[in-house]
Amino acid sequence: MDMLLSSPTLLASALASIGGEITTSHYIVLSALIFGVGLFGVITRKNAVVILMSLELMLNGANLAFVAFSRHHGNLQGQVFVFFIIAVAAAEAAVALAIIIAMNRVKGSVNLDDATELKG
Amino acid sequence: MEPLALYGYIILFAPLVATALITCFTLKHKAVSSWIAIGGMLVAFGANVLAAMQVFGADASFEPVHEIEWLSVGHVMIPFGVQMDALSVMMSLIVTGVGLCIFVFSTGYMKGEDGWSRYFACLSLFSFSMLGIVLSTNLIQTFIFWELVGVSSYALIGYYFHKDSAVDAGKKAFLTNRIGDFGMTWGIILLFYTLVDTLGWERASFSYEKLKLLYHASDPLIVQVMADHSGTLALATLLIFTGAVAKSAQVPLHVWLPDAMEGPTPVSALMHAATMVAAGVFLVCRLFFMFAPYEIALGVVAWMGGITALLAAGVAFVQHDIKKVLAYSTLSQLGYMVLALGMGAPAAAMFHLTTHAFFKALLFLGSGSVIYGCHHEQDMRKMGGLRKTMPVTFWTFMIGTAALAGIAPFSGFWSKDAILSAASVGHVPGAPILYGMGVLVALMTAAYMGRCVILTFFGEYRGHAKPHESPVSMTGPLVVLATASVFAGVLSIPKGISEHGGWLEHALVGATTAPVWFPGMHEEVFLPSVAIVGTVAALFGLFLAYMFYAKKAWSIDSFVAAVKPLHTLLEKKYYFDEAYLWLVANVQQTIAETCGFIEVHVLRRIVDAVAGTTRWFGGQVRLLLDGHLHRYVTLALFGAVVIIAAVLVGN
Repeated sequence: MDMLLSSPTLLASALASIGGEITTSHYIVLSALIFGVGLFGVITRKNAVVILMSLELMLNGANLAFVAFSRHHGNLQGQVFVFFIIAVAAAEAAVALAIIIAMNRVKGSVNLDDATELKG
Repeated sequence: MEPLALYGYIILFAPLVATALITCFTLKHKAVSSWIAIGGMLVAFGANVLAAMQVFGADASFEPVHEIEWLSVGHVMIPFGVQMDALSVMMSLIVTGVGLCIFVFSTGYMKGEDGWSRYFACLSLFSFSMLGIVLSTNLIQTFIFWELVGVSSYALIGYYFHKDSAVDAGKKAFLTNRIGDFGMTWGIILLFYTLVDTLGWERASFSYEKLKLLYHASDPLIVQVMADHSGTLALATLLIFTGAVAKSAQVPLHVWLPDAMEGPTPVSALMHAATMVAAGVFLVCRLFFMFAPYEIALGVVAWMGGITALLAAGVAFVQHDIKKVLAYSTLSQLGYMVLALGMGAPAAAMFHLTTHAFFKALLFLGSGSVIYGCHHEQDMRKMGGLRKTMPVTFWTFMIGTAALAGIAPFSGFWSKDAILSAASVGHVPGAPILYGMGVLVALMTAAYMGRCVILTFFGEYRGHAKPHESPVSMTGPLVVLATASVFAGVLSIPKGISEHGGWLEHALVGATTAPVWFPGMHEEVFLPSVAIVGTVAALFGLFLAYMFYAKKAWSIDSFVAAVKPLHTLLEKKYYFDEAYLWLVANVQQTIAETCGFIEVHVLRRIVDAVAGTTRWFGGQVRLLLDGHLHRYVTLALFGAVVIIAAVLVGN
């Protein structure tokens, strides 16, 4: 086992035996999965904090896709986007948490079913 | 920038600066306001004299047009600038010179009136607008200033805004002018459209100089195109002329001018005698190259002028208000100028415009002095015998009358003679009739001015106030203008009499010239027969006035009784106002009511139906939005899926 792990060639061949080389499409699939999990969370959960966390998942799913494509195409535009998204997400989290705290103070709850006043 | 162009901009903007200073800073300080206004005018006049020395000087090497690009939309470039040729410098000299006299006169006449600063601000604004028309280089610029003149004249006619009649007169002037401007707008559009359509964006232009080059072009292609579209171009020319018809108060758009006498008398003198009403004549002079090729255009112009001259002179006989007599006289004289234009003699029209500006401003200011001296009495039946109490006013008024009546050697004689001789050899259809009308008008002019002078200055005083001579600030300008009225004739004494004659005509050749192939261009010559006919007509007119009003050898009452229907017709001013009232009350009202009916019962129904459908649909859709964020997100998700699916299917 030691020998096996200490040999890079062997490690590579072991990985290859699991699923082959890791290509861009692997990253895209992972990114879609993360995005989907996030979306599912946003739609199904009632707790505002959980929804916020799910939103962050969606954002990071998108980030992963950006980075993957950036590497695939060999330019930095995608990574620049990711920096912006991270910055915006941080700001968004700060604002959203503040709103959730305010909501909790007013309504005594962070359940979104309790906040339906804004009707069309 | 050349000094000449600089002078042009100084002339143009000095009055505007005065307006701005007065409105912003000195509304409360009467004396300062009037000095600023007079100062602005003085600067403009000084620059104008310098410009005139260069333009009319021996050294004729100057560039008359200075333009900057002002607006640019697509292929259309609208310039702004000053055109300093003989025509515009001559005209602006009248505006600034006569204007200066009237500004000074106003300081006396307006003493004790409310809104003194407002008056001088408006007067300066008006001068700016008028100079804008005169110095303009292109049709759009002219049109803008044309409207500005309308606005400032509205403000000045309605100066006594607490008086309903003054407010109504202002409105009437504005609306009547709008009708003319409407035609003018379409004329400009039609002209430009035709040029673009036939010659392309590159050659079409609003600038007078470039338009003139097109009309005078020797390029066979352009000549061919211009000939092929002569009908459209003549129509465009006549539409532009409607603007001139309204501004220069020609029948049938003359109705505003007599009413405009509601404004203060100096305003009447400046705008409704010397400058604003001359704008129409000036515009036709400026665009004469557009009129000259089309006999129909010239014919319309000539007949319109002739008819106006005759009709207005008739009404002048039955007016009792001294200012109204002068107003109708102005109409009549403007008709004379337009007649000269139609006869292909723009130089004669400009000559008469110049002399008329002097003696009509003089007469109006004289009447202002009389009105002031009689404590704001305007009815001639309550005047009389004023020659003893108001000697300066009397003598200057006499000079103005002699000039207007066309008595040699006063300036009016020469300019009227130039017009009559142009008419006597004119080419338009019915020229001999028009010549006859011109002579008749000369007779009538002398007669009604004789009546006016006799009623005002001779006989016994019939009023109740104590008439007195006006202060120097009023008589001073009178004397200046009287001097000008006597000597302005030397500008263009015909060649037959003086070796150096025809100066004005010669100077204006470049500015008003018609295409070389134009047959009707009339070289000003002295025709002794015309001079004799005109003088005899004038003297006979004065004789009639003397017999009827001074000597009372013939009874005016029995004469009026003999021609009762004619007298009524004149008193009612040919029922023009009544006709327009009927037109507005019936025709326009019917159209308006029909439009109102269509709007309420058809258009509004359609609009309401559209709005109702939208509202119902919105009412249904809003049920989806119940406040649950999850549903919003789900809906958005479905939407996104649908869009992506659509895009994928589409590809």
